[in-house]
Amino acid sequence: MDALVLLTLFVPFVGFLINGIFNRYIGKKAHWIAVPALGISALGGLAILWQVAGSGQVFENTFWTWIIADKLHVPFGYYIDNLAAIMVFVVTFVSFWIHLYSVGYMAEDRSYARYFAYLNFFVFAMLLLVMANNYVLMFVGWEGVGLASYLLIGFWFHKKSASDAANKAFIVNRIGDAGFLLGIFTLFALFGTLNYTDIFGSNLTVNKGLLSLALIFLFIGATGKSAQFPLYVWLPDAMEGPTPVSALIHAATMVTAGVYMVARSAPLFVQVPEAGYIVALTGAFTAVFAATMALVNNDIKRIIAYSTISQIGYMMVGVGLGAYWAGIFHLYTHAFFKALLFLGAGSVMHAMHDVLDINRMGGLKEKLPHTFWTFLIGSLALAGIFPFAGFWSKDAIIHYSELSGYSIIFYLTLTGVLLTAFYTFRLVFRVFFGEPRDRELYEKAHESPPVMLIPMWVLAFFAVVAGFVSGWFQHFLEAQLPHAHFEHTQAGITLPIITNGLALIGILIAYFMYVKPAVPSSLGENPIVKGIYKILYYRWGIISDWYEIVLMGWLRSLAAGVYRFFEDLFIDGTVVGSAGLTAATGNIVRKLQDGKYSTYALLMTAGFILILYLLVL
Amino acid sequence: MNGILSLLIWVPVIGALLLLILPRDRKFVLGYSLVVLGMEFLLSLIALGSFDLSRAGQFQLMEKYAWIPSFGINYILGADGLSLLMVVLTTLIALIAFASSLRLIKDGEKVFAFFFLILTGAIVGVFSSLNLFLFFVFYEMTLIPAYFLIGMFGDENRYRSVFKFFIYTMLSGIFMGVAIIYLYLQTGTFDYMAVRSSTALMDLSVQIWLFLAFALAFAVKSPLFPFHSWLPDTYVSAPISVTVMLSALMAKMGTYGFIRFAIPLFPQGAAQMSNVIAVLAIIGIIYGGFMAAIQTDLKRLLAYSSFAHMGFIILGIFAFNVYGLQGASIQMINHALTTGVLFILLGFLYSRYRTTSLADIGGLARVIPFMMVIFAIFMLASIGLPGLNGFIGEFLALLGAYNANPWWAYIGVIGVIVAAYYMLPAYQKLAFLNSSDKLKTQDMTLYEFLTVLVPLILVFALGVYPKMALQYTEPTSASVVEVVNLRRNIQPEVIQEELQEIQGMEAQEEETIEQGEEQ
Repeated sequence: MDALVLLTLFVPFVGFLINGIFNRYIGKKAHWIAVPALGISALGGLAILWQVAGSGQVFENTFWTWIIADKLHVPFGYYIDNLAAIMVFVVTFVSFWIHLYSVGYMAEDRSYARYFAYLNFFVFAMLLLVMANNYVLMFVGWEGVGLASYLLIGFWFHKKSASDAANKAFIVNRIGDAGFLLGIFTLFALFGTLNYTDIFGSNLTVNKGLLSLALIFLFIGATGKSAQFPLYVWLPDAMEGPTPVSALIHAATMVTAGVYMVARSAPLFVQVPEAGYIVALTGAFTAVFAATMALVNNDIKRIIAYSTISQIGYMMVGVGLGAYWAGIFHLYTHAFFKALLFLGAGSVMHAMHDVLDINRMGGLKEKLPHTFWTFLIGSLALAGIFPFAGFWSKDAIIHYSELSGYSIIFYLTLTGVLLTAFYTFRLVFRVFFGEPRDRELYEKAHESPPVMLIPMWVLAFFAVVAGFVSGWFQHFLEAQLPHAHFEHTQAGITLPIITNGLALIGILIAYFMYVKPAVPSSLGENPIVKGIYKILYYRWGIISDWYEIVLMGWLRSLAAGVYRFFEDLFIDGTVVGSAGLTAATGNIVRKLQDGKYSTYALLMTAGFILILYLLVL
Repeated sequence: MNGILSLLIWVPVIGALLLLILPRDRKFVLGYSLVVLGMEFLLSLIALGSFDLSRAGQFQLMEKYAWIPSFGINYILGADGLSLLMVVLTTLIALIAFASSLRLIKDGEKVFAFFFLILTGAIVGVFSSLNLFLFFVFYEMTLIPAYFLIGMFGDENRYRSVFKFFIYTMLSGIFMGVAIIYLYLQTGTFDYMAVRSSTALMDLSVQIWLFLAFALAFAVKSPLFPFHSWLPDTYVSAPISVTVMLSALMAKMGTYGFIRFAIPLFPQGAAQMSNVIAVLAIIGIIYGGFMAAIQTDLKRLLAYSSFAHMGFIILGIFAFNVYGLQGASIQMINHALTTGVLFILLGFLYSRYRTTSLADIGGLARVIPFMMVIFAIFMLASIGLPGLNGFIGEFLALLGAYNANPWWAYIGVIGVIVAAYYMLPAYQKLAFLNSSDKLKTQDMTLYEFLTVLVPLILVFALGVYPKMALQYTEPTSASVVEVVNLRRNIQPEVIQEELQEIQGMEAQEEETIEQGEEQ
């Protein structure tokens, strides 16, 4: 297992080093290193899953002790159980297809090798996060993923919007990371160790209040990386990066980290269900809140971005309520269909010369048949229509939220289904159906090359079938993960009918608004509708813009004021008071500065003797 | 290797004096100084090699001579793991600071080199003195060359800055001087070991006063909020290589002083004041960060950033547990490497553009991409990215703070956010925005790269294998923690009873010193 883990983890890292250091010489050949590296990693991931599934045991080993201080021993080692194995598989498998797709998508870019270096690094950091056997090492991967996203979101750094978005992603994530750190400190205070095995194996009936606090701190970290309310704000802006990067961030790496972290801490969360409830409630709220912003957006990538925030919210509901397998199951199905949707969006942009505004699209169904069909499959999966992948996982989560007895969470998740179906199909209808709204663009549109279409079809295949394994998946994860005890009422037929009905209603509303307009246009004139539209269009104002308004605006102004009035006048008052003295000294220094080193040597010796003299007497 | 510490102090000083009679030719002077500093660095590596790591907690490489016997002033040098690392760090930073800024040294290179060498020797003296008087002499001696280096080679505001610098550090130093004399009058000795074992008997109030006198000097030097106002102006006015010395090494004299002198000598006083100092350190971390965030000049920004990061070190120290002290110790090294090299890189930029203002330069990732990559690595190390060295120190310091008082960590952790908050936008301006063809220039040269190569390797090495530094400082950290925990909250009467034990320890320590001498 050692060799397998090292291979899976470090081959992408070696790819990063090669492409990163020699990028000038490698140039357009970078994919010959990066894609096979991910291929090897993905095969390794598959082998790990195979071994873990076959043996049913947890693999753990330590290579060396990284940090030692007093009682703190932080090893560099791995911990592969069923959960980690699933994650490794999803991360490497989906990333591989995104790498392959990038070969076509980024073909024209002048920083081709740099792009692939970052991409490899991203996967490496994510794998480190997943495979680590302690919280500190997880944090290394956690911040590594943050760095990778910073580099990739700001990949086209000459665009101010891109480097702004990169900064925003890093800084907002840092807020979460600070929470993560506090979580680590609190756990250490509770258990005296940070290794999973030691923590989970120790007596967990510790101070419940402190444990809740630790878990809430950890969850603050999760809200950053997994883009939950209120730290979700970086994610829509992250669309500034190349589109395959969005696929990587949203599907395989980064945003799933928070969900994984909560699931990883399952043995702790089951001790204090109240902390889990906060997770679930935040997730449910975010699921609906993010969906509302997707309703009226006109940017093809941002709509999908809001849907990611919303879907991660569902996963949080799952893991928060203690139905860990359901949350992770949704993570797994979502990885396929969300990667697919982003690759589809990239394909559309590729065809439309990087236009993002869905108002300028329309009717692309005939022009881009492969993109259309795969995108449709992805959309059906996202909307949760039977029997596509999203249906199985999302319904499982909604089922558990019903069983949990927290009706507010249940109703929020149901609302989310309706909204999701609506905005997803609004997107599909606006892009692929109807008349082309920009003739010129439409005429020039062309289908993408096979190197892009093949990954899309592969992912589309999984977006259809990935959900069929739900029974096995539940069994597999629950064999090792603790879970909350629900009354095991078998999921009946009622709930699927309700969710599919809601989804169909959403699709139909979209249909009658955008394909066969049946909604009276006077509705748009209604002041209430207009007001709601405006609020959503501006993404709830400061709630979405606090980074720009508060962090980059108010706080900077405050600091500038303090600098001017406090730092300069008050603290520095000594100098203001002795301005005259300053001038006098200046004169003396100037006179002494006659350029003869002997003077200086003399002065120095004199000063030295003076000090001695003063002291001894 | 007896006498190596003396060599380390006096080689640069003698080198400087020799310079006075050597020819004036610019190339010769600079080459000669580099050779001296290179030898100095090699000497420190020899010292490192002859150090017995298994006894890292004890003072080794001891030297003891009577100097002014009538006042009991002895010339005692010695290094434990912490001192030794600081000495090696000093010679490394001095070498690369000088080597990296040859092009920036204006006329008067001979004078510059003279003072620079003296400064280096004096700093080594500070880190290896085990006699309070000797320590104080070296401590104050660093001021004089620094004063002239800034006053003669600084920018147009240098008089104002150097005046402020001198007044602040000189005045605060005087308090320490008085305290040392008071200690001498009370104990009859200046020897560190002897003083250390006898201060425990002093009244709490006396201990507090003495601690404050020492702490004031170190608080100004480090600096601790609100004693920092000399720092931005001085760092900005000083020539780059001197800024490197100030931020990387002289600031550490303050934190080293806390660990070596202020706390072990007056543990009860330190324990009494720990809350105040920790809170000031936390304020400094956040305040310094926000002040950095609004700067438009990169040099001033880095000056505030340096100040903010020093807060983590002080916070770690005053956590009074092994995590905090180990974090502080390794962070002293990290801070010197990252902040020092960031200033050096700034010097490279300055030698190209004659400005460090972000209003005038930008978009450099297109112009000098390689240098910007190196800059980014040190920047990321500075903001504590895990895997690089800065993380270890900040993590341990904050963990220590949490264990001392969770609230220190709750608030202090904001500093982790703020570091990214000021660094990334600055880097964005420097590297990404407003690229212009006017800025076209040569990318980092091989020579420039070589000057920062050792720190670059250490940034990664310490990040992945911090044990290589932590093992040197662990015993020292543990002993400081022990002495504080032994003393804090203990009444004087109880101490009286412990007298016996202490005297036993004293005898033992004397023995060690003698052993060291024999070696």
